Amino acid sequence: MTMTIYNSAIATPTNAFVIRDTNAGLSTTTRNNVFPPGGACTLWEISVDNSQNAATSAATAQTVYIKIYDATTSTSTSSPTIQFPFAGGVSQTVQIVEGWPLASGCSFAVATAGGVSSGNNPTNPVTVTLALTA
Amino acid sequence: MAFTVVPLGFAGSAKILRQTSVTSTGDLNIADGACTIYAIRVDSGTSTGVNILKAYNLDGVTNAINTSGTPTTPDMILPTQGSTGGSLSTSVALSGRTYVFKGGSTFFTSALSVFAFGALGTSTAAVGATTQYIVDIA
Repeated sequence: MTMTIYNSAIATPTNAFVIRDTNAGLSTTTRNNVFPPGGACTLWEISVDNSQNAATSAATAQTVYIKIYDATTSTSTSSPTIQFPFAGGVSQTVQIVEGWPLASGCSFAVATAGGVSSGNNPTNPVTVTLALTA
Repeated sequence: MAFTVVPLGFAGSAKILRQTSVTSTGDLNIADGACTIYAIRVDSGTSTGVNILKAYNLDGVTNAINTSGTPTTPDMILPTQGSTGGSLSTSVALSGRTYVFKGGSTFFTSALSVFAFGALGTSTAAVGATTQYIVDIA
């Protein structure tokens, strides 16, 4: 499957974007520098939909980790700045109330292992939505 | 210092867990088993720069948590900002960070153990002079 990233610009405040990747994790590479203007940005909200990796009669539930990197380029073994786990079947939003500044840029990966372990791609697509501002 | 537990009384087992000096020594199994996390506030007070809280779905006893040598991979990594110094270009004046889990995070099905470190990444440097606390409503 090919990577599918949509971004939506929000008029106010300037340079506010919602980034949506409906096929996260099904790639051996990270999503690099996803803030549309590029470079530094502030992360406010992360939504991860891992509902397609729920337990079924044929498969066990699959936990995924979203790993956020303060970098314009990264690999799946880079050390994440922010990381959250999501159990199989879970769809959840995490809000960072004060925002977190990513001084270099915003890159991310979704994998079956956290930290500097590259893990594997999830079996089924995971949808990631990020809210970013300049 | 151990975590202080403040029962809220209005919703079953809902409570606030507060620890004012989380360190790299860690606090193990702070919710006495599985818990649902609704919000975590991490405040590193007047410390300089970025500190980081790592959370593990392990009790640290029956399943050890290593922070040196070959560190155990954390399940959750939450950075926070002290009120002085730091190199962050924006939001630098805001001390601490609050993470809100809409609907609650039910990931910690075994236990919740937390450690604080003084730098991002795999560093196991101890936190500086800090006033750190975590708020957990379960």
